[in-house]
Amino acid sequence: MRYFAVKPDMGSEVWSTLIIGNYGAVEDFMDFGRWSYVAVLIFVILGSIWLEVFLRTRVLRRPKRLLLTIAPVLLPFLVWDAYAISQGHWYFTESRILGVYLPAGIPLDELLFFIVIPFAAILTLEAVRSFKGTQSARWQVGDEVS
Amino acid sequence: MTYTAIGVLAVAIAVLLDLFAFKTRMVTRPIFWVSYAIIVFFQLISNGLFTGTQIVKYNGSAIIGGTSPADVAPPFLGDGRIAFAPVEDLLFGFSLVLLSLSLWVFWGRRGIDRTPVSGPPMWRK
Repeated sequence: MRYFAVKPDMGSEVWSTLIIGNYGAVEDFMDFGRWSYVAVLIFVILGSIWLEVFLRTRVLRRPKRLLLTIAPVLLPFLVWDAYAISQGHWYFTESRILGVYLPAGIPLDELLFFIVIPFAAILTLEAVRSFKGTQSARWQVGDEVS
Repeated sequence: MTYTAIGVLAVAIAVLLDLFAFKTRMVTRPIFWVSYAIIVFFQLISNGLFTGTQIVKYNGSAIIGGTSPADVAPPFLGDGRIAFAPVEDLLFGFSLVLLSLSLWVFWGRRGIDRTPVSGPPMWRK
């Protein structure tokens, strides 16, 4: 394990210390090897799935709507991802992703990202709707059951 | 095109689809902005994990800020970054979230899996 001091000239020393304490270095924080990327996705799922139970969002009980939402959004974003990767806009630390690639060099982790993030976003929307109720026109979106 | 340019374009396309293609008008609804406020807070955390731990790195020629350093974390704030991640990620995230929520509502309005509806919270009933 490497323990770089975070370089003061990067301007991140103070903030990093505030966030991760004296762990050592940001790059060693949350190092799960090849599962590092997936670990962040699991963090996102754990951070949102409880809404399904405690706020009764019932998103998983509407699988057709969920699939029809995630699949079409996934496609243009994978195209964007493929373009960005081909142009070198962003790149990955290969030791921290699964190492399985889709066509156009897209890491499998990225495909999972485009499934998990929209799912978490929908859970959040439905959680706010659960909390606010849909009686008032102010909080309606037009799919309410009268 | 740079990440910055594609990000702005993606937000514009997402807003146009929401308003004129799906006609869900999410960007005019308080429910969307309350949800987005919650989402963007958690986006900064998860994005910070992706970029701060260098799972994902960025090329300075594609973003407002500089290239991610080879072996240390990028700046937490400043040099075009927020929570280690390029500010462009906010455009990326906004377009992904708006499109997802708009399409989810679009299908609901069309009667696809309108039920079971969300709520009430467990503690209310």
